[in-house]
Amino acid sequence: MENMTEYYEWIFSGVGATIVGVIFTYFLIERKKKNNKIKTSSKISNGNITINTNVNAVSRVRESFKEINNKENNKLKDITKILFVDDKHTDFQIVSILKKQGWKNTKSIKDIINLDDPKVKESDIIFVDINGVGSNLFKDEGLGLASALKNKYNEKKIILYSADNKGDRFHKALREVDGCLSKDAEPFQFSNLIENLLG
Amino acid sequence: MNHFKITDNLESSISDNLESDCLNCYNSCDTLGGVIDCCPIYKNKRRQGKILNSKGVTFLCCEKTKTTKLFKSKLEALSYAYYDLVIPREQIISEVKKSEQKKVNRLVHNLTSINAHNIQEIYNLIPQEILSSNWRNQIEYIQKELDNDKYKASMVFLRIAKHNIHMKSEFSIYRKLDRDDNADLEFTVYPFRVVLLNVLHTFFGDFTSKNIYVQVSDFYGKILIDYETIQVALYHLLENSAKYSKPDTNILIDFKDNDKTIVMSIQMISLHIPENERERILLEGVSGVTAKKIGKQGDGIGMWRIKQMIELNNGKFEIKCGDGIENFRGIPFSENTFNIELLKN
Repeated sequence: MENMTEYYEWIFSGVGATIVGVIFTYFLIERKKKNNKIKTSSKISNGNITINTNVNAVSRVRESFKEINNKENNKLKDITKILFVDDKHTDFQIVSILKKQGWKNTKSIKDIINLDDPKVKESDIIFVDINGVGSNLFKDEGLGLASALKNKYNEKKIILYSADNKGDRFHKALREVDGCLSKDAEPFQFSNLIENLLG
Repeated sequence: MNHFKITDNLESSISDNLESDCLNCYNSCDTLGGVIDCCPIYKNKRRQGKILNSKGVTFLCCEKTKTTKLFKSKLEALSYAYYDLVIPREQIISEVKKSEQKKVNRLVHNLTSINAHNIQEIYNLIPQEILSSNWRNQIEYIQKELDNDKYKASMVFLRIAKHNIHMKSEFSIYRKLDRDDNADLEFTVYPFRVVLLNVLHTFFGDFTSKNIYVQVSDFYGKILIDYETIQVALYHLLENSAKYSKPDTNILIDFKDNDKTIVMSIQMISLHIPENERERILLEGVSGVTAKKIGKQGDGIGMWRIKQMIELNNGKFEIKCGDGIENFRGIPFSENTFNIELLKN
């Protein structure tokens, strides 16, 4: 889009210059009242410049709209704190992928052994793996952990995610949490869910 | 609920549905029918008994049997009958195993062939033996090879991404349709166009090789769907489009925003579907006659699968078959439109 704008600018200024040039030459050849002619030609060139400015103005408005949208989005991405609780967190790239998408404050930890952990406290969205986490505190691992997190921090968004199917399909945690995702979900599904939860 | 346990003379359990809390009752029960005051599971009175006969031990625990006499006859009937039920039971188990095995075999077969594509894509780009014999310098070698043919490497990347979606779609079919505890759907709001583009972009190579231009209208509307199952439908639809559409044509993808639904229509010049096939093509195992004739038919599950997946999402799948025929290299083509209608929320 930026390139296009520049391109248009170039065409317009080029055309403008040519028109001015042609008119200028024409009037020079005609050898008529020089001063008046220059005034006329500058008027025309002003006209061209005005068009130019208009184009710029429109694109500038568009750009600024874009910027506002981006800014809001970026602001959300800047301030939202996301935490992944996964015993194999170093094997998966989802944290790095989300960071690349702009979710700067995305972290991961192996397990939660204390619900008052500062990393938990500061997070807005917590993804909890069903298998292999929370087993120190709960019999039903991630499901128990997710349920406890949701009960303690109702305002936080808790999402269960797992490579397995959801284990006990009737576990109350599945009704309490804010969402479920399969571990092989696409990056787009992660970010779409995050945006849905924040929106 | 009634609980029971039947063991043979060798003390091995033939069948039982006891919970871990039942174990105490089972071990301590020594009557043909007595009442316990408080069951640890149901917290009420229940009647239970154990009987020993020439075949083994039978234990039963019921809630509603009123008299001991009635209970005894139930227990006896169970202990007599059960050992004769072993043969049909084995038969039923082996049949269930067979049908489960069939589903798993299908999954393994499909995943194996997709994975084969991936392995070949990777090692066709960079030969395996060179990597294994120069494993210390393999990164430099890979970098060099990628640099030498960036276009080829990019196409390989796309095809692997496509295979990934294909694999995921096979998993989804198994997880969400074939398993007994299915209907494991996760409904979330998604922008329709992005969901489509996530699948469509991986077919870039297929469409460009046939010189087909795909035009997708701008659209920002959102739909409430289970992403995985819709992806299965879109994957199969686009795969069919890439396979059966006429070379050097355009495919138009447009969206229509209705009151409660959004309809995505995919309009293309593709194999002509004769009238007598129009209903059948949506059935399982049916491939079009023309598709067979040109040797491009699949397993005949594509269209059926698409319909099934769209309907799981409470949507509608409809094919508007063109009647006019244009022949190209002896193959009849028509203007066909495929509509997918999904709920907004």
